[in-house]
This record gives sequence, structure tokens and C-alpha cells, in this order.
Amino acid sequence: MNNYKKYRDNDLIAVIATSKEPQKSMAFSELYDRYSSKIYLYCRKVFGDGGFAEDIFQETFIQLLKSIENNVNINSVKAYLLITARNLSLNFKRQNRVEMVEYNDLIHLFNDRTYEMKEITQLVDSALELLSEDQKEAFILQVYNGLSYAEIASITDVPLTTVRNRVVRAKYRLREILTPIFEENNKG
Amino acid sequence: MNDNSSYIELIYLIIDGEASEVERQTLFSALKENPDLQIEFQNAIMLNQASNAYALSEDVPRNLTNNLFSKAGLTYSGVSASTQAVQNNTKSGFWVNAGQYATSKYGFGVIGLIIGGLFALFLFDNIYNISIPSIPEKVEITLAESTQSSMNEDSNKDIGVNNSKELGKQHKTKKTKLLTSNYEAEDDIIQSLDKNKESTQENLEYSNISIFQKAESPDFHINRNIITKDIHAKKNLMNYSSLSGIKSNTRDERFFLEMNSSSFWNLPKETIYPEEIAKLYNMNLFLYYKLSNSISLGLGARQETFYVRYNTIDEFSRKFIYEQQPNLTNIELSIRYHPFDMNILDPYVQFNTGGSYYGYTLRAGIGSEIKVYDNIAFTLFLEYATLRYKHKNFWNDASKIGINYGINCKF
Repeated sequence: MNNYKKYRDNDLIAVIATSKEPQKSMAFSELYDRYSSKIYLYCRKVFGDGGFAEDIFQETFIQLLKSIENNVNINSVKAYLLITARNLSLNFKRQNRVEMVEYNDLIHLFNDRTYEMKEITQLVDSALELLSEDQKEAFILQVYNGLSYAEIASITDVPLTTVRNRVVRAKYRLREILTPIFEENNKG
Repeated sequence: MNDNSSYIELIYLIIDGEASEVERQTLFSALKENPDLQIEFQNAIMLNQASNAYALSEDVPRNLTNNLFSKAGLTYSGVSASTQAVQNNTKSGFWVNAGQYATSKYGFGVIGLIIGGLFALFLFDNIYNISIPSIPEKVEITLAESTQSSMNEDSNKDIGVNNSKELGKQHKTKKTKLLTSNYEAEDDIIQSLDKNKESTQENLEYSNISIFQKAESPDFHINRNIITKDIHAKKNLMNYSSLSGIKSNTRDERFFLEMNSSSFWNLPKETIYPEEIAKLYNMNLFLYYKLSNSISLGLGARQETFYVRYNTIDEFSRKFIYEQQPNLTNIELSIRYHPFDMNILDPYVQFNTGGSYYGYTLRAGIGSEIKVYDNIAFTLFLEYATLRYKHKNFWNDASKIGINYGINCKF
């Protein structure tokens, strides 16, 4: 049995494109293990807990498989997956008109309590809903997917300075929302 | 943004690792004089930490993976395959869980205890201790049939007793019995003691003899050949025990305390060093209990460092290979086995398992006690040690070899 863990992404793509079962499944499983958690995280952050995130996630990997089978040139699997997930998300949002959450709907979560770090991380997640779509996306790609500003610029197809502004403004906005919690924690 | 807005932008750029050197220096000079900016910096770091901590906790649900592969017409054979098996097959699920538990910090300790316990039980099962109050100049001993073949009557050194280990193995099913009465084994092993008052005192220190033998087993056939040998007290009995595999029970003390210091060589060689060394660095203190003459079980604490190297993400979301030498205080369980006793030297093999807040340790090696007095011995122990620790859901290992040297006091 081959140890696909030692294979590079390009080698795995070649195996998936040219081999039969069980090698094909094993190679795709390896590729899936490498990137699934990051893509799932991206989908969850963009769509929340609902089933939409799971649909987009599944569709993203199905498209990857189809592209490999059709010998589409894939330079970076991670970038391909993120771009695919993003495009699917944008399409979905255009079709379903996802509404922005109002500040007042969520702000009660952040008042009159002391918070543990775990709770803060969950509140950051909720606070993301208060950002604009562009800022939220830039924040998710930068923080949760570990991309550099240049990589985000490449994936979202906007200038580097725009990405820089979006990320900084997203973080500053989140910091503003979370200030009461941070102050509470600093006192504690 | 407020008056500090340009600086605040720099804070986030620096945290994201996207600032230039000039921007970095600009911010750090401003930070020195601006308390508000310092608070802003603190909050930005906290936000980053909170985001990263949450980012690491997302796992793809199993059923989602199964559905995806089913939809794609493939079979998933990756990391989650084992957990999938848990759902589909109870039997294999049990073994998967057992395997996972066995390799966990607690499972490892439990397995060590079970193995140690079984080992001790095995040894007890094959040992009879017979205490004899005094040894005269002449001792007549009747032993197993194999005795005769191993005898060499021309030499005092060859008071061959028997192939005691073989006999012991033939009677594993019988429970151990400790005979403390002087002549309880008289029916099976005839020991005619020609008491000589003059030599009594001289021989007192050799009065306890442990014989590896199933004296009361019905299968045990004794020839009842009486072997008479002149025993010149000390010399004979020393030979008697060391040559025949019979242990002279000079180690009556059930407990001993052992303190060691040690020197270690990390594998691979370290490239960084601890900023501060613990006060009891590379020291260990163990209390042992003798389960038998051959096996001891110990519990103790040790302070040491390991050279650890692992991949991680820092608070600024940058990927790093971290190298550290943390000071650890481990609590360990130790099993020590003495295969034989060479009078002054008492060699042993040892297996330790334990853990600390950071992970669990495993060490094994060989060593020897070097007796310097009745209850005091020096110890020298060569070991291989490994630390297994978890960092952000990933298990890592660090290893080293070392020499322990110390003192051991029986009481």
C-alpha cells in the first residue's frame, strides 16, 4: 500500500487523474485530509452553522475532483479550493440575498458579563456577522485560513492595498465591538 | 478611527506579519510614549489569540466526509477512517478505542501497572522463602533429583542445588506460600542441621536462604539423597547462593530510597538552551518497594529538560518551528528487575513511565547497584528517555540518552 502522506499535491493530483481504485480514493482522501478542515472552517465562518456551509463545502471538493479528472491545470490546491468555495458562496448569496445582521441584534451578547477566552473566541465569531461581507471575507481568509495579504489579493482578485484596508478595518471594528470584554478581562 | 488611527493600522499589520521594517520601528517608538496605544496593542493581540484559538477547533463532521465521498463515488481512507469504523463495526471499534486509550497518557500508566503486577505475580508464584535460624558448620541438604548432576563434591564452590528455575516453571499454578517457620518445609526438603554452638554467631548473617522451589507440590519428587557438605561458613554460602541461582536473602529491607543526579545528551543535539534552569535540574528521588528479591516497584519525582521541536503558529499568526528546552517536573512509576546478584554489584534493568502537565515520559535502561555497606549502595544507570507531548492537537516526541548516578539507602 502506498504511503500518500509523502506525496506532494501535484503527485496526488497525477494519481487521482490516472489511477483506478483504490489508489484514486486513497490519493483523494489524502488531499482531502490536507485541506478539508481549513475549507470547512472557511465555509462555516462565511455561512454559520446552517446546512449551507456543508453544501458549499461538499460542492467545493466535488468540483476539485471533476477538475482533476478533466485535467484542469491546478497550481495550488489550497488556492483552488478557496477560490472555488468563495465563488460558490458568492453565487449562493446572490441567489439567496443573505441579510446583514444588525448591530443591536448581537450587542447584548457582549454586555454585563465576565468572559473566558473560549467565550471570547465564540463572541469574535458572532461579531464577524457585524462586518461588511468584504471585510469579513478578508478577515476569515487572513486569520482562519492563514493567507498572506498577497494571497488574499490573488484569490479575491483585488489590489493588495484594498486587502490591507479590509483586514485592518475588520480587525479594528471587531476590536471596537469586543472592547468591553477585553477591558473586563484586563481588570480581572 | 481616532488620532492613533495610523498607528493602529500599523499594529494590525505588524501582528499579521505584513509590516515593513520602517513601519515596525515607527510603531515601536510610538508605543514607548503612548499608553493608549499600548492598550490598543494588547487588545489587538488578544483579538488575534481569540481568533486563532477558535480557528484550530473546527473539525469536519464524519457524516459530512462520508456523504461527500459517497457523492463523488469514492471511498474515504484517510484519518477519519478509523472513527468511521467505530460506527460500522463494534468489534473493530472496540480495538480502535482500546488502541487510542492505550497510547494515551493514562492508558500508558495503566498498562505499565498491569505488566508490572503480572510480572510480580509470576515471580511470587515461583518463590519460596525458607528462613533458617542459623547455619552450622555442616549442613545436610536434600534436594531435587537434578541436584545430583550438578554436584561437584570435590569443590566447596559447587554445592549445586538444583535447576531451580525449571522446577519453578513446572508448578506455575500453585499459589505462593511464604514459609517463615524454621522447619515447615521439613517434609519436602530435609535439612539436618548439625548445630554447632561455636559457629552459630558467625553464621547468623547467612541465616536466611531463599530457595526457588515448589516444596509442597505433589509433583515434586525428592530423591532424598542426603548431601553432606562441610560448609566453611561465609565462603560456602556465598558460592552456594551465587552459583546455584539461589538468592541469599541479605536484602531484608522492603523499602529503599534512591536519589540520583544525571547527565543527558539530547537526540538530536540541542541548538537552544533554557533561559533558566530548575533548582533540582536533572535530579530524581524515588521510593522503592521490594515486591520480591528480584523486583522492585518505585514511585518518584524528577526534574529534567527535553529538547522539543515542533511546528506552531505564534500570536501574530506566523508559522514557526519552535525549539524549546522546558523545565519539567515528572511523576514517575518505576519497575526494576534484578536478574541476578553478583555480591558487590547488583545489576538491574529498569522501566519507567510517568508524566507531567506537558506530556508523558517513558524511559528504559540498564544499571547496577554497587554495594558499599549493608544498606547503602551507589547506583549507576544508563537510560534512553522519551517525552511524548501534545501541541495543538499534534503529538510530538523528544528523546535523549543519559547516565544516572546516585545513592540508594535501604530501610
